[in-house]
Amino acid sequence: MNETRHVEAASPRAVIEARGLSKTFACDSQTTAALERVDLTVQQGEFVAIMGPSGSGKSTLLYLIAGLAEPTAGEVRIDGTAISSLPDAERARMRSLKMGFVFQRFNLLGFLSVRHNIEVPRLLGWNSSRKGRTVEELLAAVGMEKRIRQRVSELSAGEQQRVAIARALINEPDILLADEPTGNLDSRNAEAILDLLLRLKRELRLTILLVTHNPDVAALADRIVEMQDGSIRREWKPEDVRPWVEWHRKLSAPFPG
Amino acid sequence: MLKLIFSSLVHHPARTFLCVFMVGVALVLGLVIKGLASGLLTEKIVRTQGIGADLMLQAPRSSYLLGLGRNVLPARMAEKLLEVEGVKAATPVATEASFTNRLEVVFGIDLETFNGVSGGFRYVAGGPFTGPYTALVDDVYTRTHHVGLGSKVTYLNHQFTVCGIVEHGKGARVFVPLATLQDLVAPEKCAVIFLKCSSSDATEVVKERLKQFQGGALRNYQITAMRDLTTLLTPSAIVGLQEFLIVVVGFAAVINFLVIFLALYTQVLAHTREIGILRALGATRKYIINMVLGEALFLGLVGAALGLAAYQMTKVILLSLFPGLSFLLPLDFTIEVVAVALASAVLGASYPAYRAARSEPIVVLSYE
Repeated sequence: MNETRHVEAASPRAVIEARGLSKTFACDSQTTAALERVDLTVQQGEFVAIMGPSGSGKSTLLYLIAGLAEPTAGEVRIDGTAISSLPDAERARMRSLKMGFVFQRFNLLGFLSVRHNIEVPRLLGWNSSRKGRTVEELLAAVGMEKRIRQRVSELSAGEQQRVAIARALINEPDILLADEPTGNLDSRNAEAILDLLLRLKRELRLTILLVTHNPDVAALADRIVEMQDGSIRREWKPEDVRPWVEWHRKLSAPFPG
Repeated sequence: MLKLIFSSLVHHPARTFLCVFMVGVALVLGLVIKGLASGLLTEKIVRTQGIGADLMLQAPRSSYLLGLGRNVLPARMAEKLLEVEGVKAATPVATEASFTNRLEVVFGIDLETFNGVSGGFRYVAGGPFTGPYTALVDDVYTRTHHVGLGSKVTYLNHQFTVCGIVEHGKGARVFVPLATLQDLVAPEKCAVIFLKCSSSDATEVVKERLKQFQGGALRNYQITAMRDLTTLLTPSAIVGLQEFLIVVVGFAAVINFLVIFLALYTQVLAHTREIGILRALGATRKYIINMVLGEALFLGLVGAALGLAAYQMTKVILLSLFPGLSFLLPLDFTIEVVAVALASAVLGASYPAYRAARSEPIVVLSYE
């Protein structure tokens, strides 16, 4: 889809760098540390899965990388730019042009059609000079070209997630951030969405940072980061998590009739 | 941004309709009151000027609204004023405000001298007074009171027979003989003397001469050039009317503020997730603020348009029910009221906009 990106692939560079990243939330008079001194580097074109139990800080890490919140300590660099120290408008600009976001609950805007949902990142006014991909091209890429005029509320969960992926790609981002993208889908739809993500990663040389609970999903990544209690516990290679996958599959299998 | 605003408004039709409706209702209240006040005053001015006089002489500190003044001037003074150089004709008019059915100002006129100043009535039907208890009414009066030639009208506890119907625009809508009105309210007195000058250009000179007349006897009398009535008879000249209008417009602004505030505040609270999504997709805080304010501005604009349309509709309905009414909406007041409506809408949306921009995407989007 984009030839220049294949040329760049010869010399991978760090597109995401988190250094000493900490985030503390204050509620009433109590403070809770959601992240503690996290270091993470993601190379261009890499697919990294972040795993861990609920409350381990996976999503917080993702949102800090996206510049949706300011870290209590440390910094995040996107393509060498310290996003965490940028003013709100610059952070929003970087988020819009460099990153695409896919959420567990799809987070489409119910009052808009499929076409307009995909166009939303363009309506925010950051990419007026870019030509970019058309909505039709993106819908064809996610296999939804016939649903362009429909309301998103009329779509199935799997279809909504495809629209969300198309929306994430409208500004041709380098990075795709996905927070449990298959968490609300049945296994068939989840598989289809993962296939789609892998295909898009190959074709567009996307860097993917994906949060998941599911070892099946994590096993597809180039690298797996395991988090616990706000810190990175260790990193795994996909082959290291095979026993987990088997175990998870057994647990998920239906009880024999 | 417009696409997002319109889609949001279309997606919540009940909320949008209620907001627009409430803004329109608040606006139409002020517009109708102002339109009616200005219209009636202007119509009164036009009718008074329509008499055709150049000057009018009243007792000191009399109201320019004829009918509210007392009959304290000696009617014979009119003859005397003819001695002033430049005065071509003079006519005494006694006035009385009657409240028998509705407020109506009755002119007691001496038909001969009144015609000398005004150039005479144009009769639609009938003719001049045929007796002391006969009356002339104008064509608007016949429509509003459903009367015709020979009908009886009651004023000051006396019945008058309509002997003539005249074209409107000569001061009052009902005219009775001067002597009759004087007998009933103030013998040999009148409230105002209308004067016709030899030349309209000499009005100011004649006014000065009147003040000097008989050693300055009329110095303290109220002598008004008829062409000045337009500037003298304004809502601010009527005690309390201007203040009343300010209060009405103020109330409209408060209602607008509350309606927009409540609608957008509940909208922001109910849609924090959508706001979080927009932030995650690259919307700045400023963009979110502009979006909420833009929505309020749009609601205010459509509400204002609805208010103006409702004003026109109210005007048509009221005029069909009460043909004697008159409406005039000054452009500056309309702009002022619409500006107040828009400002209050934007003000009402300020806190919801601030609140929306302040929401943290990390909090509203987190889902584990």
